[in-house]
Amino acid sequence: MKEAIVLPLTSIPCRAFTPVDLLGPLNDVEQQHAPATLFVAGDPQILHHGARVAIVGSRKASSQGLARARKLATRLCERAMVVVSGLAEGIDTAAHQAILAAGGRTIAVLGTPLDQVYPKANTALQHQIMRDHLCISQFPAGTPIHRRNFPMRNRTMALLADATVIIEATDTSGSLVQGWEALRLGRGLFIAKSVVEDATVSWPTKMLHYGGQILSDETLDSLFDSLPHRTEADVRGVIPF
Amino acid sequence: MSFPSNLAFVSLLQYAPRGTTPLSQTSRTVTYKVKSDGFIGSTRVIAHAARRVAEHLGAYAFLQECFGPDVTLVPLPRSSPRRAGFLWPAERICAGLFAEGLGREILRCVARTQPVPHASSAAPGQRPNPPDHYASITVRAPRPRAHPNRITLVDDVITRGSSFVGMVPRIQEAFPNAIVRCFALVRTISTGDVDAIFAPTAGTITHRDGLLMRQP
Repeated sequence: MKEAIVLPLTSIPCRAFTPVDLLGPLNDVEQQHAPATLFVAGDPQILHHGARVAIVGSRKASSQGLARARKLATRLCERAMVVVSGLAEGIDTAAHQAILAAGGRTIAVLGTPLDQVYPKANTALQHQIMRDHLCISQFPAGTPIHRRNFPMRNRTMALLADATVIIEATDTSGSLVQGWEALRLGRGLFIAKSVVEDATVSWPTKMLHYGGQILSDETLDSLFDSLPHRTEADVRGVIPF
Repeated sequence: MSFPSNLAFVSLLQYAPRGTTPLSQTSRTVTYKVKSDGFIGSTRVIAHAARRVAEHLGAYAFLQECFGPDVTLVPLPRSSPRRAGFLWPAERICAGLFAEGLGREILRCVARTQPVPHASSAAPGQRPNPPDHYASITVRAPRPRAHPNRITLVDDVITRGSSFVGMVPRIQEAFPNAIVRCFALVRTISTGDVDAIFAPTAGTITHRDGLLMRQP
């Protein structure tokens, strides 16, 4: 694990919520891996408007994978959807940067506490998301950074997102934890067609067997169709039938 | 294997996946909450829908045909095999209906052994047909409290009705003396918008020459 740095956060307020505070009631399947507390910097109202789609994948991504992440983030922005990702290098960073460039909204779900940045190269990006968007961590300030934090973060990201898209990943990638968790929760899991066709990885076949779907230009509408049209009314509790 | 050429179904809600009006967009959210066993405000959507079935049982004869204290509720599997602990929306709907006194028991006897394409997302030529559903499921060791006389197959969303047509023969093989009916909580309106989300409906799935048509 590379060295983390401590951010001077004095100007950015951070608050603690329960998942129910932020998302509303959870069913028993959702409660199973939900953290007790979520530490938040930024605007929690981002959670209340628009579908949330997680774009995740390899840290050492190919140029084609990075381009796919940017393209998908831009398409989601066109539909006023929120891009969720993990602020890791590679696919995550490309997704966050693309939605910001397009003028959309993003949520970063960190594997570190909010007072640290990993990787260091994303210090400015994390600050921008904390200030203008939403940054969430389940780890209290001062928590040491362990490898096990990141799969925990991936399960939390699956809980926060209405659907997860894996752009590129090896057979040992942490993104796979998120994919399985999305399937467990009954959320949409979409796998980029290019990685499904990659003979060097075996995980897509397994996830497709258990409900994952192939994402391509031809099937992009099925991702959009599967998502809720979230409004404040969902939070206020106006049940429409 | 012969599949029913005309199969009756009942649904409670409707949604327009590509509708553009605010109500159609809300119908998408409701359907998402059904499929994820979610809440709107503090209300669990599936439980609320089950309550609505109970409230309207007296008003709609077709609901009375599907539900009652002597009915065995059988949840349909999702389009893919399911690992232990995975959310199973149709089973959640059965539990909601059972809690409202609308069934005698829940019989979790149908399992998917091989995945089929999602009806809602597959290209028209790749959508699973009744034989695909029939071949991809198994009815596992059903042990009802007593031999069921009335069975209602329960699904979350009906698109074309292919899964009902494909699975009814499997159920009839296992329970040859039972009357089998089909209920989906949500009916898909594939084009246009909805004018209401709550729309109790009795319809028919027609299956002829390999072609499926759902009406309405």
